[in-house]
Amino acid sequence: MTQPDVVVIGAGILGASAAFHLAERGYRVVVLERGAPNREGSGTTAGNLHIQAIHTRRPGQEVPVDSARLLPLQRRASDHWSQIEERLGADVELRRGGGFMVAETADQEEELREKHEWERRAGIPTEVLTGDEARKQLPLLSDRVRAASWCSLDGYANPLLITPAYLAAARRLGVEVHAFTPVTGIQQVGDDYKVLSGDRSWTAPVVVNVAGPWITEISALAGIQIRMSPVAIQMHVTVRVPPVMHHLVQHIGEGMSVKQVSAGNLLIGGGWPAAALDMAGRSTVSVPSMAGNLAQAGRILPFLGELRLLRMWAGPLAATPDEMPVIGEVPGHPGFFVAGGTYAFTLAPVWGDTLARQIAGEAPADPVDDLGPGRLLHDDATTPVSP
Amino acid sequence: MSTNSLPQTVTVTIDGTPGQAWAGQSVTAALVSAGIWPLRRNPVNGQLRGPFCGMGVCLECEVTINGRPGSRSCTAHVTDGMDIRTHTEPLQTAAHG
Repeated sequence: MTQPDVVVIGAGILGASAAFHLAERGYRVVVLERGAPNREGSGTTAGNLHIQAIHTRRPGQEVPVDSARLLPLQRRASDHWSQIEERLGADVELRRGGGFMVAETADQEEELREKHEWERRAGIPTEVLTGDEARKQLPLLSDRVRAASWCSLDGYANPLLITPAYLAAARRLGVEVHAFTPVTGIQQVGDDYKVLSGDRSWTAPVVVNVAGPWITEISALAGIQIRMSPVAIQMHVTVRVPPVMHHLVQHIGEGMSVKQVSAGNLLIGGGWPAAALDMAGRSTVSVPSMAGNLAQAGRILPFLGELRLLRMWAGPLAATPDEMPVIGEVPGHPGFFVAGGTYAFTLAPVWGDTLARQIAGEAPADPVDDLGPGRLLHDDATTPVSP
Repeated sequence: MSTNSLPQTVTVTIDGTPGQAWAGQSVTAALVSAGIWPLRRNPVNGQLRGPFCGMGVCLECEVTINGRPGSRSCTAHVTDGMDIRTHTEPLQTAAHG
């Protein structure tokens, strides 16, 4: 298929979701991936399903996320995830055990109450519990927990299963996935884009750039200068233990997420920075981040201190300069779409559906005009590619 | 060849039974020499586990050495009088979740 309807660049969770949603609508789709599918940020992420409002800053993050803005999208994501295993015909270790967001200080407790009000307005059921009420539900929480917000919709899906499941479902609908096929050029040919990988090429009226940390580089091949701020973050995992915790536990004041996965391991993360983002290879973990993340997690969940650390790893996060997601058609470049940015795992089903609707010329289920790529363009970057 | 390079035979106790091993060999090697491959069970599903990576990474070969649980047998070296116990991990009693 050298003349598909859509060329998707990147076989992470967003590329896989976009390909699936487009194929469901009958589009002929080719997915091009520079390496192995799901090998970068989508496969190294924590796998959290964040339905209650998120913590607004990773450690070291300069600009906070506008958490309230994302809530309608998180509510939509919750509905998508509820149906995803049935829709894809696959077990992705989906768990919706609910989640706590804990507070240790009076100010943090106030933040919980403020976000509870946003959540109420967005139609997301949450409850603010006292420390004792939270400990009654989850006795593993330490006395440091002064209050906690509870959302029964929070959960987890295995990042190593969901993207392959999307890709398998997309292939059943006729999508072609080309791994180890790095895009080396994008040329405008009439109203179409000719996407090259070495001496191979695909020509389509629509290109979807979901290349994660490489969004800037891929856009530049088409003469589009999009500013991104990719970073590398790290995750930690303990040895397996019998099931003790069925909830996601996060912290409102600091980046922290802890949960027990199906295999029994405790996964500890929260967006702590890795030592270095290596775009050409594997990013390097940071020992100070490990120490900080584990100390913080152990302060909230002391039982973690009895477990041994099994592994840690680092992976890229395709952050934007304003920390908000990016999704939509590039102004001045009809048919060139971009999607990425933070919380892409939780939002992947929403972004796949949104891209499919935008490409079909329909309104998205939730408005996303304010999240379009126009805000990330360099001022001098809107000159069209010469044919 | 100098006689100094010959390994020294020492006594270790494996699950309560005294036996002989070489000082400095890995505890995994001593266990396997004694015919013991399964060292513990997966605490979630009860499957038998044993030495896998052999280099301290997978933590599947953990045993109790001189009373210290969660010791990696592949990176621990045999010493005289060492007490080695397998299958010392707590197991869940009732499956749930």
